[in-house]
Amino acid sequence: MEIKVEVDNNVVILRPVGSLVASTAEFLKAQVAKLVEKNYVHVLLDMAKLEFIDSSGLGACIAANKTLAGSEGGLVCTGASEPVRKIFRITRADQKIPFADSRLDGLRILQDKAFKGGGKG
Amino acid sequence: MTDRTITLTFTPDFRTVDLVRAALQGICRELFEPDGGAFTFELALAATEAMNNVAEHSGASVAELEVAADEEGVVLRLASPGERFDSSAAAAMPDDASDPDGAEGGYGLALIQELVDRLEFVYENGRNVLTLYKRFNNEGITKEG
Amino acid sequence: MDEGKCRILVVDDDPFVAEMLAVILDADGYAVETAENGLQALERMAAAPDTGLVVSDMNMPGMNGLELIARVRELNADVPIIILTGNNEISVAIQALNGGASDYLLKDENIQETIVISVEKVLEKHQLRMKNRQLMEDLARKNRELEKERVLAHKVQESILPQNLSLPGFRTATRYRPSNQIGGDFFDAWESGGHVHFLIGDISGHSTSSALLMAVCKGMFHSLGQTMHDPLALVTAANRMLCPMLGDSGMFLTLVYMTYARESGTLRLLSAGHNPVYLLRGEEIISFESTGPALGWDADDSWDVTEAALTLGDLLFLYTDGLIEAKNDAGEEFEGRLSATLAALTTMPEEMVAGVFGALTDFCGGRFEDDITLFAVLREEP
Repeated sequence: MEIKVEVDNNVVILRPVGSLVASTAEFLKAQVAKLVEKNYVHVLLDMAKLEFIDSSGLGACIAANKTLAGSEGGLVCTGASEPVRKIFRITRADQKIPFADSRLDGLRILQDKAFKGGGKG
Repeated sequence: MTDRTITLTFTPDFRTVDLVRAALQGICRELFEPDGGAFTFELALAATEAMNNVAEHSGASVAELEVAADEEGVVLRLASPGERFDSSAAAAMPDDASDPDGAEGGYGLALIQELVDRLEFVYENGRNVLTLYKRFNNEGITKEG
Repeated sequence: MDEGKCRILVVDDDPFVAEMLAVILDADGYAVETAENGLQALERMAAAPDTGLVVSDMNMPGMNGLELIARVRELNADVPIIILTGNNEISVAIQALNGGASDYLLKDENIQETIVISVEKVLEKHQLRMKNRQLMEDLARKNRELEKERVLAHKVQESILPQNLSLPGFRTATRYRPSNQIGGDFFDAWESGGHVHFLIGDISGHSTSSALLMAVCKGMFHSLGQTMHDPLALVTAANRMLCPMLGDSGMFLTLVYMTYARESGTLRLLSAGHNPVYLLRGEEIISFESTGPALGWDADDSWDVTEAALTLGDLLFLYTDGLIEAKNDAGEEFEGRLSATLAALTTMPEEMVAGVFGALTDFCGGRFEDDITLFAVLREEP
């Protein structure tokens, strides 16, 4: 797996490519921890290129959301395929992490939040 | 393909589990679901959770995943040598004790149960053997010729 | 021997049995050799390492079938072995299979048929196992190769983002979108010693080394910028370090380096072969052109520095060439549209960046071939 990084104003867009599983989940967590260190706390996880996810990958998303929320930010997911989406539903992980219908919606949710939170302009 | 079984022998560590998962998805795409849809994804996920479990808890240096199909579905048998694995304890305990609300761990077995139609566990000849059965028609796909 | 059929070694202390099996298997297209005892079998194995299967009697004087299996494994770990016996005891079968035999056959009246079926089955299973092993090895090797690239790419991706600082008196907005290859764009902003530093750069090429060079440059400028605040001195020093590093690699980078002195309110700008920087002031659009060559060509190069007073409401717009070189279906570049696009937008940095990126996406239908970095800086009330 690799994770592509984009920036849109205060929001960092992470695009994991490949599989987010036990052997790669730590990498996502580490990447998010580094973003928080650099004062980026609003992250859009674009799952369009995510081919596979297991419960460790799910756990990493939840941990990332917790880290970001602890710094007054948050994680929003988008672009997930139906099977991936279903896994979030079965495990009720989608009650902890919001899903946006499109990248644009996801950015809007996060940017509104960033604005209200008084993040850096 | 009535009687054929494919056995993948592998070292149960997380990296290799991901490879075996990819191989299993390849086999499914080749044999049952060329466009790699929900059946393949869910079967591979159930297998991944089971293999991760072996990688994490069994201490075994080798494991075997057997893939067999009949007219109605796919049977996966995951076998690993070692001490008897207590499946009931694993189902009740989140993987990560430091995570009190169970948010990050503990999904594994519960997930498998959601994803397959039948799940059996036996301990025989010093091997933990988990058998998973998933039907095709669940997801509305039928097996080819 | 038929094409694709392997060499089989038959071991039995009864020459009649050995000969009979040889005839059956020979008729089925295999090349068959026989041996009367374990030692002879091992000699034959050593002489013909391409032996694909061993069929051996269990009870033989000297070396029995189990001992033979163990010795054969020392020679050729993978060759499948079928054990024959006249004894119908299950314990013997289990012993043989646990000892490493691939199959177990009874020497009874059906042997003529069972031996052929067993040989086929064992060989097919063996082949599958070898194929499976090859597949796993290939997968593992591919994964290791990918992993190597990945580790490199990861380090760089994570280092690309600057510290997200709050700079009093400035409001900034950024859009960074790398292409599918590993990118060479970088940007940064920080404050030290009463000066605010802004920089944007673009490394030529899209290889792993251009991404590494990006990481090196970013670190270098950031550390030089902690003590130096004159863009000319800073860029000259950086270029002197970069030139020997790049040698004749053909790589270079274009860069805009700006410092803003809080006390005087003056902006000093150096552009090393980079695209124009736009200053939007009310209705007016001023462009600052390149003030010298790109970095990495000549250690003795020098640059001019442009100075301007920044007033409240001034907006600076910086970008990399991925923006202006993006093409539409007709093959036109976005460059010609940039001024008009800027003029039509408000001077809030977030809207400016989003507006330009939106216009670009519409223009080229979302097909971006290069890294794109947009960076807007507004001078506002502290």
